[in-house]
Amino acid sequence: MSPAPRASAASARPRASSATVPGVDIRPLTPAIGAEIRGVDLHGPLSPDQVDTIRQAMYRHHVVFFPDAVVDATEQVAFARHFGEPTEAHCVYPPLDDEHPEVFSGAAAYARYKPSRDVRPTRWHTDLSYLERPPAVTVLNLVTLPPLGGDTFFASAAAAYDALSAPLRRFVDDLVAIHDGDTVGAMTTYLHDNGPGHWEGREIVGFDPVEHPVVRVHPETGRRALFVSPAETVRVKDLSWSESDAVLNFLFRHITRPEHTVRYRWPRAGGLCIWDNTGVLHGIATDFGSAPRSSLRVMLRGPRPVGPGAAGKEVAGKEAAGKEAAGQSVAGREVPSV
Amino acid sequence: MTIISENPVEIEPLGPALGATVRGIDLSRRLDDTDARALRAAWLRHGLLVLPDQRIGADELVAFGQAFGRPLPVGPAELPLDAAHPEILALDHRRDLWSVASTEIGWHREGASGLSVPAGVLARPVALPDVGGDTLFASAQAAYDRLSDPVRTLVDDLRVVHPAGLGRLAWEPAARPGDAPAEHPVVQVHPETGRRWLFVAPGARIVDLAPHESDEIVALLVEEITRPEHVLRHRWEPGTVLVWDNRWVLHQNLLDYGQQTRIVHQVVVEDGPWSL
Repeated sequence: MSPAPRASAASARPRASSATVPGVDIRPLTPAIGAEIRGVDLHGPLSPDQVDTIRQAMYRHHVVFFPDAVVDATEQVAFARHFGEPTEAHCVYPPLDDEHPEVFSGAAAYARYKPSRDVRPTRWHTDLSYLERPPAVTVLNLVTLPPLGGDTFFASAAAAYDALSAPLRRFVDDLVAIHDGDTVGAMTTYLHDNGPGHWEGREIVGFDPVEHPVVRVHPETGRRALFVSPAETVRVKDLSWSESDAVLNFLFRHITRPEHTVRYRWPRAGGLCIWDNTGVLHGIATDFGSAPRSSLRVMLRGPRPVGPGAAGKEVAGKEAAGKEAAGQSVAGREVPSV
Repeated sequence: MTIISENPVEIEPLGPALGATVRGIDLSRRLDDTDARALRAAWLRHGLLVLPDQRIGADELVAFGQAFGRPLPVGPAELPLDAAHPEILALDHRRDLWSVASTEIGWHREGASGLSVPAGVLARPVALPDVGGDTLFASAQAAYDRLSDPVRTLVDDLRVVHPAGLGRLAWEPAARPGDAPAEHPVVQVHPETGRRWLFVAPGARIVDLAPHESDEIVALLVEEITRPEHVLRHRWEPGTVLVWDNRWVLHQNLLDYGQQTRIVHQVVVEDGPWSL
């Protein structure tokens, strides 16, 4: 990993972006993860150069924030479409409204359904990793913020992978993990009470465990990242339960070490951010009591996660065999319990 | 299962992972070759032998040790029982609580920081509390056997050091306080049985990993070693003599007996020529 520069705005500009798009200001927040972008008007269409600059900044910094952007749901969808095809609002919960089938709003989803327990996304998680093809990108728009608190945490699972020592990189490169939507929030109860959700045009009535590589190779950059999270990953395949618990807890603690994270305090007026969901974990601080905090989320379709085996590693034979086995058991099943 | 040799030596396993009770041997008399071979074979197989109702003293304990290896003088930072018994350490953990290393209190092996780790440990109780002061033993062999393939592959290539404690040093004659602990493979192979075990204990450091990674992997391996299935809890009785394989069996003494007195005489033997 090449550490991102700090300090002055001038030295903070990645070469490619500042050269091609004058006026776009990119400031890294930490060496590992996070940058703020100013100088882009998100109320209208973006130029191809602007789109490319933002995309490259997202790949490099994993999450980029637009602190000056106060946009509505329609503008947020238009912004997101520059970077890919939006998914359904959620695979379980209904969208914000009929005009915005791509927009998820926690407030809207829970308005007609009161979970018996707190299902706010406080644990570190990767959006919808329990699906075979989790969304590749998330665009989050903070609309209402509490007077104090409600920061969002982000962790770079790519920086965390890079920071592993060589023996442990080799170890995790070969592992496959099981992600289970049944463990997340109150989704199964919600489906039971409210009927099916939708994903990729198909009905979702429940969740089967899904297998993903523990190390995910980025589909665009080739960079490796750990792809496990406390909220969704329940087990490492081929390990005993006790080994799996120990390895997962280690990886969770490792990914969320302070060096791999950024804590974002949102501007009072709200703000927008876009992150690379293939290598980012995030969670929110629930330190704002019953004060209102609401956001709108748009996600973009992503491919099935691919491990280092398919990327042509040294021990290609062994890994390809492992991957094939993982792929077969996934492919042999329909998308989550249609 | 009870195995009966030509001599009336009874060896009764205490569990699948480790431990066996041995009856029909009188340690107050010199062992004959047949008994010594039977005992040694049982020690290699079960890792821990429990010999109840023995009426022996310090001399016989040292002599018994010769069936398993060469009895070593106590470590350079220790005082022996007396001039006639340079190999016997009188352990009084309550008295030593503030002078022995913290690793002495939890799961450990004797002399794990050294270049060569003692092969066996013998112990006989001299004074016991009314209740408490049990010793736990754990099989690092059973733990290795039970590892999944991916974790086995990970640990096969790793090397480890066991930092020396404040009081308990390696047994090498040249060992000195402050010596760097010796590096060993995490996975070790028994020279006689060929079985493998995990050479780690709390406080061990895997040198190929970052410190926080090492903490996590050592914790994982210690958790596997000390699973209930791999642990035997020994309740001491007067006259019961123990001998265990210090390479693949870890032990831990419970300090749960308040102000009562508990003294155990211990002899450590190194691998190598053993006499019958």
